[in-house]
Amino acid sequence: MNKKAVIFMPVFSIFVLVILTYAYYETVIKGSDDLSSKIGENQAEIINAYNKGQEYMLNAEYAIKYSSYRAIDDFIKYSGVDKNCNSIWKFNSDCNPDLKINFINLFNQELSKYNYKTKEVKIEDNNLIVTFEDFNYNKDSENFKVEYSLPITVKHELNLDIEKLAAIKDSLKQCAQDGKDLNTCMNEKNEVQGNLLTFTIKNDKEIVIYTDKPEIKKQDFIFKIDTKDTGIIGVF
Amino acid sequence: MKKGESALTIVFSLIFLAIVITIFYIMFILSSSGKAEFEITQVGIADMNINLMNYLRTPVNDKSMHDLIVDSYYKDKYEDLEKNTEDIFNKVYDNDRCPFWRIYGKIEDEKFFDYESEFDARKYTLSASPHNFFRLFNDDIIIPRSSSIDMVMPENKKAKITLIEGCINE
Repeated sequence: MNKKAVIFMPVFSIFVLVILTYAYYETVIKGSDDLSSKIGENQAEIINAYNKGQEYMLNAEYAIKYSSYRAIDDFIKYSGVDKNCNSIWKFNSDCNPDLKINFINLFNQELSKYNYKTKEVKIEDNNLIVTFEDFNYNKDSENFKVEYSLPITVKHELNLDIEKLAAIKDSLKQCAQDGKDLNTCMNEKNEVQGNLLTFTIKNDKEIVIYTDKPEIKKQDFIFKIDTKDTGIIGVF
Repeated sequence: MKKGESALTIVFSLIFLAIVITIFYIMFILSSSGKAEFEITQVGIADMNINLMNYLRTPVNDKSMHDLIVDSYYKDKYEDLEKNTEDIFNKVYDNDRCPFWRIYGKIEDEKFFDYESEFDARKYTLSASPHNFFRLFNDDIIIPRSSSIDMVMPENKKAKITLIEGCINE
């Protein structure tokens, strides 16, 4: 047999082994980082950014809910004014019943415990409207950059008729300014004890306060006015 | 070189060549299937996050599952949560494609609920059966994936809810 023909097959086999080893190294071992890390990862990162935004928004909704329950509890406990006022309303003083503002202050105190930063909080038609600072998600990789910004505004129905309370406050203020008898110019249930007039405003809405055990509360809103010291100089 | 030795050299070379080509063929096949799984896993995890959020938002009577988790934790009563969770995930994951799911919640690293599908592991465990052996070489294997989200609780307690699913790779 020809000597060259005999050598050809072993040499060819070794040549094929070398070629395949090199090809495996180039395409699988060396290329694995480049290919496997990029296929689907960048696309998934976009979906991930969206999901993180949704998660933030979901948690924000519940932080508002729990904060509003706490705020309502304190608001009713202190009759819508500072706790040092002993539930007595006095216009144009530190015990001025700026009900919406006072409620928003209580709410902000509670919401800050959840580490959420707000741009604006307002009350419209018994709805709490909270605008948060935008949710931002940034991811920077070698060949890919994600910048995702989500403005978040949440509307939450209050379990308290604060519009009605605000209307009662305006009527009482008007009565006091007109020099009318506060006891008679309002239809709401009230009691007279000396100079103190106590109003009880019915509230049918429930809140849940979570301490060791959840406590469901349905509380009427009670406040007092000293008829001799309303904070308003009446027109007599 | 003798005639017999020459023939033997050629035969051994051919056998060697056949073995080398076969080994590399298997190596290339296995490495390419690994890459495909990576892609599916990445996008799949994003899908699971949506499933988890939809679960928390699912209405139950006049509440959401989020509320039910909070109530169950504070009241230390989990019957409703278990029943509703099983109802939801047994509908989401059909038993043929995704025979396994598990969901659990932790507060400060302590589990407060943990539910899973009825899953017959024997169907998917490797055994001496040649049928199961070939499961390795087709796509009909269960790929487990997990996803977690942080959930706000009253008093700013932080709960971590984790969902694990086992679906057949198709």
